[in-house]
Amino acid sequence: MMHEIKNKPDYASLHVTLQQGEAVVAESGALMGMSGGVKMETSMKGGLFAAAKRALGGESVFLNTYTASADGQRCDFAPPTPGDMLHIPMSGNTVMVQRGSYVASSGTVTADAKWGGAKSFFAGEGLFMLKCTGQGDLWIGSYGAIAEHRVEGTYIVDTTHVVGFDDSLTYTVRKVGGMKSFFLSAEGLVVEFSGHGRVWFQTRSAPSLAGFLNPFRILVQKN
Amino acid sequence: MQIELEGRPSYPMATVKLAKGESIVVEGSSMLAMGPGLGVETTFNGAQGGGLVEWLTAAFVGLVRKFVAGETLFVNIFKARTEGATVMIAPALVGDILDIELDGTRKVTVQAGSFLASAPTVKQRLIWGGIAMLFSGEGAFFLECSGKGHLLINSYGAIEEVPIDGEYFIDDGHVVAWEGKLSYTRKSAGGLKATLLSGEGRLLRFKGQGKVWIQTRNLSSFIQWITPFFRG
Repeated sequence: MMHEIKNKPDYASLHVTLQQGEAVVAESGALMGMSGGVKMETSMKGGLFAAAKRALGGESVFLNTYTASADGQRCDFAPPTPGDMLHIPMSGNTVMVQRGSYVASSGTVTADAKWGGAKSFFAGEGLFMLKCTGQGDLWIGSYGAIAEHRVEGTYIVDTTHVVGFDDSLTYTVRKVGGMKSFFLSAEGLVVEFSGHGRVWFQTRSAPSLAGFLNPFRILVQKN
Repeated sequence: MQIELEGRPSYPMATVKLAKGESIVVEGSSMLAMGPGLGVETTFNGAQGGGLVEWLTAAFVGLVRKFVAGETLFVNIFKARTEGATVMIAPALVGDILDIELDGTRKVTVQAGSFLASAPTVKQRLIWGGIAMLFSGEGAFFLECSGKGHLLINSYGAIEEVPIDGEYFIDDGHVVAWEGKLSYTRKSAGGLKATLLSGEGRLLRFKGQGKVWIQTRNLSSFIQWITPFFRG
């Protein structure tokens, strides 16, 4: 299998070339194009329960598996967000991925939903994480660019900016300051990481974009 | 006519420098700046020929572009009264611009919504993508461009060139344009289950030899992604 991320960093796309029998799994809707010799199969990966959890995680219930029936077959994928993509090689380790950031995976890598705690859910920013584990490749997408930070000790990232992190880290979701700053500063909830491992965060956030666009939307409604 | 692209691939602008008497056809509301010495005429795209039939066809194409392809009804024709008059143009969407030079033998078919500008010597023919395309949300119509001169097309996201020799499936929301001996059909890539549940039910199957330009983002996917974040 050969793979390449092109058009970095603004509108990154993933291009995979498969040999006969090789396969790649991708999020529903991520496919841009594929060779005629690729077979697409739709399934609830991991069974009904895993699929239902994935739906809660903001991902689709159904994942598509693309299998090459001949050598040199190509698949092209893209996330829905304007931004970058990242390839994470997996060697039996576990990476947590924020909802909506999963694009594709290969090998034995599985993606299972994990509940991020009631606090983040009620804040509407749903820190739903997908637990990705196995051997092979994992590709994720971001809104904006992707920054990587190696946590040694503790580190704080806004919930809406978290893209993923190593499972070796422990985390808690909390307010950024006291009650006053919760209401008065626009900063909402943050994730505090501790331990040793990598954190990936995106340089833009979807709720901020929606908040910025909202007034323009109301103007349109009045017309 | 000289065309220079700056700011690729996300926020490009095309600077078009015209010789005296030359003109360029530009998608409505795509002019962002212009120098002196230019005359502007607004018309339906394709009505440059002047005949009644051309005008009626162009009016129909314009209406189709407006209401089906989400484009503007009119195009503006910028004509240079002086040597070296320049006009700067940019599309509404964030994404790339491609400058394709037609030499009289090439024939490029463009998703109606991706047309940005062309030399007046580029001929356009409206192609109806078939009844299935009407419900696809994007591009029920294509413009088959031939003739000689520059053709500018734009995309949402980057533009990726896909060479095709044989068979290739492309999501219709990602098709920008194609060229060559290619035929296409709307075809499901899997069985009934895949068609209904895969989220990839809108594939076009291209067959033959040629190339397809695809855009690396899809506007309807973007809207689906951002909509839940709006409150109220």
